[in-house]
Amino acid sequence: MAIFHPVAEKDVTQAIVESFLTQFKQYAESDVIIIGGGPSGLIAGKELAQKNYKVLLVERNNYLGGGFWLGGYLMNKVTVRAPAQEVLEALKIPYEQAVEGLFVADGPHACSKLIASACDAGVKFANMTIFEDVILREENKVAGVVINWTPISSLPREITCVDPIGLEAKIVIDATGHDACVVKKLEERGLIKTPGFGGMWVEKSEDLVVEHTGEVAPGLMVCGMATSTTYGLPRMGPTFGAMLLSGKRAAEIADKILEKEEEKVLKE
Amino acid sequence: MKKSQITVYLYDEPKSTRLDTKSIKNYLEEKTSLKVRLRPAIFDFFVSSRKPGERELEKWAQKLAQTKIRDVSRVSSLAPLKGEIEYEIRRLLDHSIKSFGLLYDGFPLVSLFFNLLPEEEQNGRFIHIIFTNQLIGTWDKVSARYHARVAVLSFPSIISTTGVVEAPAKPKEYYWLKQQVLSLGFDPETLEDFKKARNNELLEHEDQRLTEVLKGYALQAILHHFEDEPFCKDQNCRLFNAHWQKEVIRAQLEGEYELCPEHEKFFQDLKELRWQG
Repeated sequence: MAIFHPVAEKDVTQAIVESFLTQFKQYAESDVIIIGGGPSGLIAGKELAQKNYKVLLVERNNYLGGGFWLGGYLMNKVTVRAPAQEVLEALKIPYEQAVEGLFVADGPHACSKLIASACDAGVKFANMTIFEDVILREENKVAGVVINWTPISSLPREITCVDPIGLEAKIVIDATGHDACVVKKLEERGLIKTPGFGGMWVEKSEDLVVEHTGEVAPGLMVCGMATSTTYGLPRMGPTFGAMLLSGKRAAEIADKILEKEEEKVLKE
Repeated sequence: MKKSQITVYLYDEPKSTRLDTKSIKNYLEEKTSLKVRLRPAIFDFFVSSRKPGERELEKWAQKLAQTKIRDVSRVSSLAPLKGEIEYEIRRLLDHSIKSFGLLYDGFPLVSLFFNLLPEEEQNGRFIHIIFTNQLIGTWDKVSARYHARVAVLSFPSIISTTGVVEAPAKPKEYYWLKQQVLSLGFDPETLEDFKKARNNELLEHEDQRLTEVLKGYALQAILHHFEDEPFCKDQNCRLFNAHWQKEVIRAQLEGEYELCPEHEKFFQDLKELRWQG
């Protein structure tokens, strides 16, 4: 006797297509699009979705979590400095104190819980999707992103004649890590000039990433390691506290911007 | 000019909790007999005395952001980004923001701070010593790169409370260990153990010895006001230009004497001249 209910192949296909397209159509216009599914992007998405914003997170890989699965030298322990352990606490991620003010958690446990929390909050994902460009409106306000399938970028040019598509959003958050892909795209267009990575390494540089998180151009915010690249902040070691707190701060600032925009619309 | 007419102003840095400017004031008065007065942090002083509007404050924040060194291997003139200006505004107004780690170009910073001073005090009758928790660097033509500095002695002089930790080199073994922690995933605790074990060779941020160490740098700023050469070649003298943390600790805390005989005499003369003034 079969364990599973009999289902035709066409039913499986239709279920996938219908579910995907319904969501995709719905998120062709979002409140916030986050590019990059690492720890800062995930936490920003989770916080914003919890405030009932419509959040779409674009990730070029199949998997989410970025580097949060691993610590230094491919070892799957992640560290955060106080007060970022409060985020671990809130996400119910077990952790231990390594030395005063430094906490260590299992990478897989921490990362999967973070992803789950973003999903639970209502963030929707477009994985295996690459960011190609920004959509610009009046006064060069970033109003969305142009995306394509990730495999397109790995195929020979002759067979990759697949045009990208555009998604609109009130705010785009660049959480693409060291690459700062979205900010770099503005730079290519001559709309911004970034200094690139700072050469100096000091132990307290995590604070700077959090402090510099925010709007870098109209409609475009930056968080996580992309903040370092954008502002030329000092390099950091493999500790994730700044990523988590930067993501949280990005969500707070985005919330304020969206509230202001809403007030403006209501007045008009 | 009479010595009695010279006033030294010390500008506090509330972001550095171990900095005790009152103690430095007492030390300078005792060593020099000059009038030493305390002031709040330079921007607090500027804001309270000149009450700049939002736009003016943004202008100063923009200038400050402009002095940021973006690449230690080249001099850059990039216009600051919106986020950098906003960061500076927040940093100027909110003392709870204690973040540091950015390097600022020392000489443009001196010129910026100069313009924050009251016009009537922009002359040789005043010595302004500004403490900051910003890291400061200066361009070195020979090595064609910026180097972090503890102090930029000029008018005004700037002394960095974080520079005293970051600019003079720590023991070589510290950097090897740090590299291992960073690239090989060694336990970060080994760095902490190292710092504890070699405490007599390096300073830490918010070190209890900070105020005592900075007394010597403040004295260098005063010497610079009177002499072309503010440094001493004697490693035991507080005016020694230390390049290693070990040297800083020796000159400021563990020297055989406080000042070398030559500089002891200089400050003694300065004291006596005051009474002639």
